[in-house]
Amino acid sequence: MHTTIVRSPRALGPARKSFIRRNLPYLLIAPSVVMLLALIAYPLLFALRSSFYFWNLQIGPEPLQFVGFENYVQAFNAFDFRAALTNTLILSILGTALEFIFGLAIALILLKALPGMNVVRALLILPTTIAPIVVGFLFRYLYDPGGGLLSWVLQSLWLPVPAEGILGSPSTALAAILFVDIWQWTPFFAIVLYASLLAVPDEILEAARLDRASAWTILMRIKLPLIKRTAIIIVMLRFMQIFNTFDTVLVLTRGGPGTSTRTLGYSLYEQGLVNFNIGLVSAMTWITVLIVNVIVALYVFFAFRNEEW
Amino acid sequence: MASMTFDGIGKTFPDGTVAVANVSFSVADGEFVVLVGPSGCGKSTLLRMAAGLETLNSGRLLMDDADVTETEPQDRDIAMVFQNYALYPHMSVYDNMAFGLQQRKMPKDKIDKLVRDAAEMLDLTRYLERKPGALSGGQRQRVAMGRAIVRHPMAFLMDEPLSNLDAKLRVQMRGELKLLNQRLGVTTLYVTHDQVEAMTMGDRVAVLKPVFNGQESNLQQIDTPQMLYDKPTNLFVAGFIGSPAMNFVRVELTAEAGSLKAAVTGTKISFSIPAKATLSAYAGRQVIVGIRPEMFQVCPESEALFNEQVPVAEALGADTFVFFDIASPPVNINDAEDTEDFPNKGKNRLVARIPPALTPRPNQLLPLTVDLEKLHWFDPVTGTAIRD
Repeated sequence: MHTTIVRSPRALGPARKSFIRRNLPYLLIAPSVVMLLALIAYPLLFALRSSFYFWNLQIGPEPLQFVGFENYVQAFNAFDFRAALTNTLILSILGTALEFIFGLAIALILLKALPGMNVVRALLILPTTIAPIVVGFLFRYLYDPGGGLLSWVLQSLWLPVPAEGILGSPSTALAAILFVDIWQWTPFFAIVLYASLLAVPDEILEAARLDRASAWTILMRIKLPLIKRTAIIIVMLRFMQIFNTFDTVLVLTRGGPGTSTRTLGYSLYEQGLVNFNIGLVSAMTWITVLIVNVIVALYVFFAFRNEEW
Repeated sequence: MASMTFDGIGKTFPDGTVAVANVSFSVADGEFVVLVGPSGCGKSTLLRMAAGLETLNSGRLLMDDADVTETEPQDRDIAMVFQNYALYPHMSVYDNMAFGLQQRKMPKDKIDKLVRDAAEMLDLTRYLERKPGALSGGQRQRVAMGRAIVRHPMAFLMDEPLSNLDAKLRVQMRGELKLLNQRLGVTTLYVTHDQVEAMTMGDRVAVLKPVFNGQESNLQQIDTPQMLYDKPTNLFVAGFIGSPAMNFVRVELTAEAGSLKAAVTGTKISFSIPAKATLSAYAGRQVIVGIRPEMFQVCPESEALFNEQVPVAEALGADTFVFFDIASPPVNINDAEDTEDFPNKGKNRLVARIPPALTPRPNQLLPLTVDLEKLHWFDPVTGTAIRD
């Protein structure tokens, strides 16, 4: 009788086994990291390099000359930079705030379980599903001074409509773009806030009622704090999205009249894809990236403070 | 502090389900009343109606003789302890307790004193700065109690406050809650499905049962725990109160000279009892006899009323519960009405409580007799107790 000793698979190559086991998380996350590096880090770094060169595709396919910070200086001094920055900030801050407030109001109404709410809930998501370009065209017709529905409604209500049209007047054009964004994105807030409000247990609200809290107090001290995490994140996402708005502007006003609706996103598009000024647009991109990140970092710092995650 | 009166309370949900019907009872000032019953008996609904969280379709609710039927929950000055505590998860223990006081626009120093006093009483002082998520179940339960008592409300409403605790903690908290109630003397309405909790805590206990139409009443009996045990008003209460539950046996009554002969349906077992006025009226008919497990006594074989094999015995240390079957149709206490022509088959499993020393070996015959004086008698149609 003889015995064969078979090494169990477990005992096979302990070194290799433990290497895989130890590094498994990194191996699994590696594809995502590679993709992120390729799609985000590389373009950003490429843009950073380009931003120090004079490079215009209308003149030649290659960067012509190293110019140091000249592109940055030019970007800050451009005729439209300050207007674009101001408009972008107005749109993103006001847009996010109003969409949040209206969305919250709608979410609270949805919670009331009134008859027909199921239909309303289903319809509500529709605007958000339409491509911004399509929404832009839609509103171009609605704002049309010669028979556009919104112009007609405003006139019928004896509200002043500029003779050059809502989109044609510097005093109303930016508000018109803001309105489009609110129209399209308020439902997004409504749906997300509604879903998170649903997760607030009824007993907690009942306990608050028995504690004599008013509806306003319950909203401010119970409901909002309990949905705070979701709210913080969607506000941040939406802020960043609006900050980069360019499609609705492109379709509705092309940044005009004058610079009254010009956004950073639109200026980037114009310099990069109309004027092909790659060096300059790279510098502008970096300026935008820095501004967004500073704002978001501050927001995250203050919003997430005192929060146990 | 206040008295509370339920006057013909009824609640039907929009889909037609009758949750509560014809419930009337009063809770005296400072009294601890427990609502007990199986699931679906409407006990939680009644409590929520007392809180104002549920509207009622009929009847009135009085607090200190003032009609509060239409009063909003926030204007009732009652505190409720929820089954899952319903603590505000984002607030510290301190804020959880202070929240209700802040809504009353009470000065800060007064709130602070009340909260700290309550925390002291409940041994929560160390945890005041913690969030509920960082507390154990028992501690959360105490915070929920604290939130109720800081407000010094007119009444406490408690919805199965101990059911989320483990068995040992539950027994401990049961005692503490009872002590707390005695100390504070606040009118308390307490809901539970656990009859031990009901019996040990309540000054009086209201036994409820599910209803299926607006003519019945959920409320079967409201009385002191001892009275419920000794004099249950019907089959439902008799079967619900007591653990293990009361045994029910069908017997045929026949009148004999000066006595009544009761023959256990389907068996050869029979016994005689002295004729009593009300019970004599049932002569010639079937009635239901209720036997509490402790009414059985082990006896010599010659005196035995029951002498059956014991397939199962549960030794609890101090007592042993022995189970045995008799060839008599079982009694379903939940639908006493339609048991007249019960199919005469099946076995009726009875349980007796005996001293551990007398525990029989498996499948050994165990001769048992019953204290005939203490038997409970019930009408088989209505289920009500037959008493002189």
